[in-house]
Amino acid sequence: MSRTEYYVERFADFLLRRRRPLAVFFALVTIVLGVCATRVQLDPGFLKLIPIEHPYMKTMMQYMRDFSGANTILVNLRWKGEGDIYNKAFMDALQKTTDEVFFIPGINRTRVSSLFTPDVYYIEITEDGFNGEPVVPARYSGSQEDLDRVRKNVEHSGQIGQLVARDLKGAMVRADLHEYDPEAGIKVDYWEVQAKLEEIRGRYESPVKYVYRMKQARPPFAAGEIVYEGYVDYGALLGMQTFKVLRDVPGQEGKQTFEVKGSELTVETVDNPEYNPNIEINIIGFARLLGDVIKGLLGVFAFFGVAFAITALLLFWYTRSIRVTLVALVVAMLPVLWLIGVLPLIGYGIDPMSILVPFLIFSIGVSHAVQMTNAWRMEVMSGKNAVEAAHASFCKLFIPGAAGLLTEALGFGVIMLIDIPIVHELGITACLGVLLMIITNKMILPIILSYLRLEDSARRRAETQTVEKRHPLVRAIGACAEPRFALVVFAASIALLVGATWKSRDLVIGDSGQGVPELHEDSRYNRDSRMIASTYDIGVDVLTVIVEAPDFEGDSCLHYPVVNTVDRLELFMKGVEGVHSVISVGGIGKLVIAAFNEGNPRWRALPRTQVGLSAGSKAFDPNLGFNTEGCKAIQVMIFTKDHEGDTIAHVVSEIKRFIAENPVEGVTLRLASGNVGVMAATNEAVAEAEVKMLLAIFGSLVLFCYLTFHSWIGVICVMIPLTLVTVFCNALMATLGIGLKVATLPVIALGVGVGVDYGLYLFERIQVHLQDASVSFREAFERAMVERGSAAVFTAVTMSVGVATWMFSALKFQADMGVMLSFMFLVNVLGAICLLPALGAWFYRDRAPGMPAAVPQA
Amino acid sequence: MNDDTRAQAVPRTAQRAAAWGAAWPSIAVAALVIVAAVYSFSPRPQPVFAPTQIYPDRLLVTGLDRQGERLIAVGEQGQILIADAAQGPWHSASVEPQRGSTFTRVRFVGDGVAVAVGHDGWIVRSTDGGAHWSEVHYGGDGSDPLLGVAGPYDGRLFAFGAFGLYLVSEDLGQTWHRRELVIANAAAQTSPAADPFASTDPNADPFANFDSSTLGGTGHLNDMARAADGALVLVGERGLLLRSTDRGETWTQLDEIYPGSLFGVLTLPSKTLVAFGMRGHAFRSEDNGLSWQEAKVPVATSLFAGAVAKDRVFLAGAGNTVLSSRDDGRTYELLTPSAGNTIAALLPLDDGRWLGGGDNGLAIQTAAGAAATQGEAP
Repeated sequence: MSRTEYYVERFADFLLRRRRPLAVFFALVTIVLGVCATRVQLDPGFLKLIPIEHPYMKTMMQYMRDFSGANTILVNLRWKGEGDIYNKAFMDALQKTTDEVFFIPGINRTRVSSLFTPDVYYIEITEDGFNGEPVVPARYSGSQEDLDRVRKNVEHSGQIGQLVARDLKGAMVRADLHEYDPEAGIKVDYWEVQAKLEEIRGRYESPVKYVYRMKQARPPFAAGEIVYEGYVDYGALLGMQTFKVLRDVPGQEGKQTFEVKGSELTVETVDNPEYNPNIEINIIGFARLLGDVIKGLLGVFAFFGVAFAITALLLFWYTRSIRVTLVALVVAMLPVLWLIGVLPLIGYGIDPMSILVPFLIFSIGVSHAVQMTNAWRMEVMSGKNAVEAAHASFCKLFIPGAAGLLTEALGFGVIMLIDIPIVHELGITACLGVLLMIITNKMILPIILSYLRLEDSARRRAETQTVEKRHPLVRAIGACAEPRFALVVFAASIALLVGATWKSRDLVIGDSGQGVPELHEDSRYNRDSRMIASTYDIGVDVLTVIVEAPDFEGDSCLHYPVVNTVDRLELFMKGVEGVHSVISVGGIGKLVIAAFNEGNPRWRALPRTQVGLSAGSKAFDPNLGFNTEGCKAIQVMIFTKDHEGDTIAHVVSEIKRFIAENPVEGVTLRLASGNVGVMAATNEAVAEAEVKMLLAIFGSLVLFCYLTFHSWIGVICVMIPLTLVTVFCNALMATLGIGLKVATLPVIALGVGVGVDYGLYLFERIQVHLQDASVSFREAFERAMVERGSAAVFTAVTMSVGVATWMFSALKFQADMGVMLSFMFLVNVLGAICLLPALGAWFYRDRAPGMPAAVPQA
Repeated sequence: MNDDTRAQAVPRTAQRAAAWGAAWPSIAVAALVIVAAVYSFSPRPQPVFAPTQIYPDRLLVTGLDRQGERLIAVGEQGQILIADAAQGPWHSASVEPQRGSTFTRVRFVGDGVAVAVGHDGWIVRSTDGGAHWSEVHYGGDGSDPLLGVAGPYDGRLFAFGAFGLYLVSEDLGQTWHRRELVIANAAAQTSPAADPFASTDPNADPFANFDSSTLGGTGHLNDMARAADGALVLVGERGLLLRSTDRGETWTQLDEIYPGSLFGVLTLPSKTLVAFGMRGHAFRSEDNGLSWQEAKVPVATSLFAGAVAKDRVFLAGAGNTVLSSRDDGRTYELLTPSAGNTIAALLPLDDGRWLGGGDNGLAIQTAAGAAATQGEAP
């Protein structure tokens, strides 16, 4: 008995001797953490999604205040009726929507633009100079005369394609959202913003209106009093909703805000008088996206329910014991509960990505619980009592189980190499969850098992699964452990490997497909996004280059080297494939200068003198949002055709080339802001992390395996199938068009971390049986299959089914993760039961049946 | 290794080596998997993207000319594109030295010889049909822009531009000399009606931060044409209309026909002169420019380009406006839908279509609602 085994045995003695006080202790911990778990909160945020340490993002953060960055909201009103937008119904709706957007909490009110805001004016060039006024006259009344005037003014305003759709069938409100509300001084509540945006949409799109009345009186409200009217059907989720209601209170100045819970209200449905079937509202922006993502997350709970039910059924089918099923489920749920309880204690919440962790932990928990209960059941069948069986199964499983869990923790840990806060959180929560599982699975489960009595049904079932009476399927799989048949397995593996390797080269970093990657292509958000992108000149995918010119005297834009650099960058970028259009002070400055010269396009050039450039100074107004005060920093907005990873990489590399080839003294060009800037940084961070992460996880797994088995053969037998599956996974991603990105890179680590379990459990048993010199390798493998393999196959199937339910998620990244994880779980177990024995068969060929075990081959 | 407990007689290392040797299929598979994995995760190739270039539909084009099959388009930042067919492909020409100033017009002045003028008093010349250009004049950083080039008229080339900038070349553009624009009846200039600056009230301009005192003695000169009788007609800012009968040595200011700027002047095959300018104003003269009548134009957008085709005359300008007249410039019809882009140059094609150049780059267009086809990128 090795020293480790000695300690394991002593620990098992301690655990079972003190099982009563320990059980009480664990119960208390569970209760405390259960209470904490109720305090866990959703904690989404824009900044969590970006790799803040990346140089691009440092640029973006530095200028976040000056330039809106990527947090813009676009509300497009689309007229579906006859004619164009110049009719009273549409213009009234636009005016009302502008007001509503303006009053959304957290909106930067200086940056709200629509035809009804005063910053939108038209310029008309006449023989005597300019004429410029707001597009919508101050005394606008909606009369036909006014509408004609607006139509004419819009034509002169240059807003067609910007705030007015090119086909004149739509107009939009553009606004920027703060991350922190400067008035209230608090973090902007995205949930509230997206709810307001939904109301804006509902006002014209919903045929019905919802009137909320108080169920019971509560000062200052009377019973039955109408406290809120809205256009969004909350349905069963009403209880989760909180409404802010303004009321006068005697004795206090101004209106006071009262929060009313949805559960206090009754809903009444009335006709919506403002409903207009001719108006469609398209809303895009991070806040809206987050709303849809959170709604998608709610669906995840349903999937969890389904996965739980499927797991329970499979467990019962496998064990034929309600008690064991219940125990396994409860023990698998414990680390989830503990984890959710710990999160608020360490200051974390749940966000759209890390919400998957509890489900993953549950799946892994089931896997390990099944191994443990299975081992325990076998011990019981061999005649031991519950306590002895718990002791024996603990001793047998502690090493491979703890090794498996530690490798999983490691798998989750290396995810943290990706320098993005949300991924860090994912890594930490997952790591924590798995470490908690060592306690729940290795300590609590044996204690529970020691109190358990196996039902007769389960005994009967277990009798069919003994080493002596092994299932024919086990015998069939055992053939893989014969050197001759192993060659067949090798041939099949290599054939698949060649195909997969070839295909895996097509894997792209970043997104593939259209629209925001979080949601499916045909989601409402992505449809809205396409509608806006197809009817306006402004794209939804923008990469911003910041041009810094801090040391020029006076206004930097009046210095030719500065604006000329911007202008040249604009022209250069227009020639880059993948770029849709470019906007900055260069082009706008030239437009203004041409406007000063009667609109003559031959004057659309930048003069080399300050006096000449000052003609364009209207273009260098910081309020336009293209530069800071005095042009110390200028943003060049590059709209790209799409945000596919390859396109972004190409555009970014061309920008870098321009920067390298065009050094200008005192002018620095810095990448990057805008949503594509964020993606570029993310893709670069992911690409950089990919190899690092894989090396870290495979390197440490090799080390782990070696420490566990003290055998290089063991390392090869366990790691080679795993490596093979990782290549398959790449090929799968390339085939399904899933890009390597923040959501999918961790999946590879998770898949490897979980997949290594099967190999670890199996080889550990093989090694034990091989210690008996009379046992052939095939025999050792078949015994291991009976003892551990069936449980491994069972858990792989269970976990695959569990995560496969994610495929139906409204969130695309979750669906992608579901496909990949269930693939990796399943194929990893195939690798462990087919390729592992095949590899081992040749290493232990000298032990083929019928040959004296001790004769080595020369 | 735990499985070596069975080994007694054979030394441990030898036995192990033998076991590894016998296991060569497994080791080969393992090696293959590792190699495949390394290859699979090694840096993946980028798909091939088109090289970065100047797309003809993404460049401000200010001037177009044609000689035989060869077409030349000039535009912003010293860019010159050439093609042998209107639909392209268009190629960037080489300009040496590339000063990056925006060109304003181009003109073939001899067989394969072309001259392009632009901002900062820049003039470049090509003798190989536009493939290679070299600098023949540069005004310096503070120089006013050249806005047009005309000729050769009786062996003389003229380049002219802002604030009365006026250059003459006697050798098809190889050397250029700055000349004073001599206006013989300068007295007329003092009358408020004719003086382009007397009526300029800086306060009338809501964005004015231009100091009109820095302006030169004359307004901008926009275009020149030769009348049938050999007289030269020069048009410019704020109704400026000059005529010279001595090869441009001295000029006579004609009576004002319009207070707004004139951007172009053309000579039709019928010997009629056509001048056009701001806000849809176009005029015609049947007496070589001495007297002018206003033409009927259906739009009020400024007209910056004009061209003569076999059977008609084209005018084009802001708001995607393209007009044509088949009655010797008396009445015009609108051929294109209104849009945001401005057309700065126009070249009629033989099949009734035309090539337009402007702030949306080059585009081949056809009349009346027919879908505009974009010039294809090379």
